[in-house]
Amino acid sequence: MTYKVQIDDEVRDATPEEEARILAAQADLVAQEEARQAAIAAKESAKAKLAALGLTEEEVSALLG
Amino acid sequence: MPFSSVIGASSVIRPGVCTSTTRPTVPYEGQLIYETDTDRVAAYNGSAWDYTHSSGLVLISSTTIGNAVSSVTVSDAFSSTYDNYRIIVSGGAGSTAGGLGIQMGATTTGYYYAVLRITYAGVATNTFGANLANWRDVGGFNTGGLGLSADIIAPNLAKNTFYFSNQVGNETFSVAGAGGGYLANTTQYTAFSLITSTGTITGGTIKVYGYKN
Repeated sequence: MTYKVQIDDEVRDATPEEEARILAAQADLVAQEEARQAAIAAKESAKAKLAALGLTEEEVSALLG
Repeated sequence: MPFSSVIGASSVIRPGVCTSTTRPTVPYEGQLIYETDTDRVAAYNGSAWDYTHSSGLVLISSTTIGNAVSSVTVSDAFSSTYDNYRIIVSGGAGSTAGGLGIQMGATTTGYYYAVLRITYAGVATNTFGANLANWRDVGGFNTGGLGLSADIIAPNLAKNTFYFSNQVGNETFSVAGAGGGYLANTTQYTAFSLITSTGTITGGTIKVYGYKN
């Protein structure tokens, strides 16, 4: 993929240095998104397990929000 | 013609009303003008037209984002004129859903941030990071538009630079929250870049305002 950068009003292809800067800035995006999705999945799993133990939906929400 | 009819709204005499190219050529100190093409009020301070009297927030620059870019640099955003700034990004569109990070000057290390945030479904997904390459996800975007509003504190002072913002994503599965961070150096910055977390952005504007000292 060729990255494009804009310097004020000029748009052009990124230099290797600029591309490296963009990639570094984006580096842990995937890990961050995976962590976010894992947190959502963990909460849903906890809700299901609490419901299986007999807690009502209101009680589960009171515990986990 | 009575005097009252030449000082009313329909008067042909409109003192101080001009354009940015027809300002008075021999102004006097204290003279006020209104530029109809820029919608700005200026006062002559004895040596130059001073636009900072308009309000607490003074527009410094407006940059139109080009086609399918991953990074946009605004070169002359910060100066010694103001200590603190507001950056607002609006309009345009992203190629996909993503975040807008901020990088100061050419600095690629030392960014610290934390955001307390929650998904629109009500799940807390706080985010944070230490010694990163930029302040991540200060704003958000998708194909429906770009959104970022951040205060930048002391970027041109020989102090740590801080940011404060509300982080808002515009997908139904996205998040909203509030947070900020700082940059662990005392470099005096004049420029910043917006960097996409993924994909590209097209159109929209980046407006930089200075908080009047």
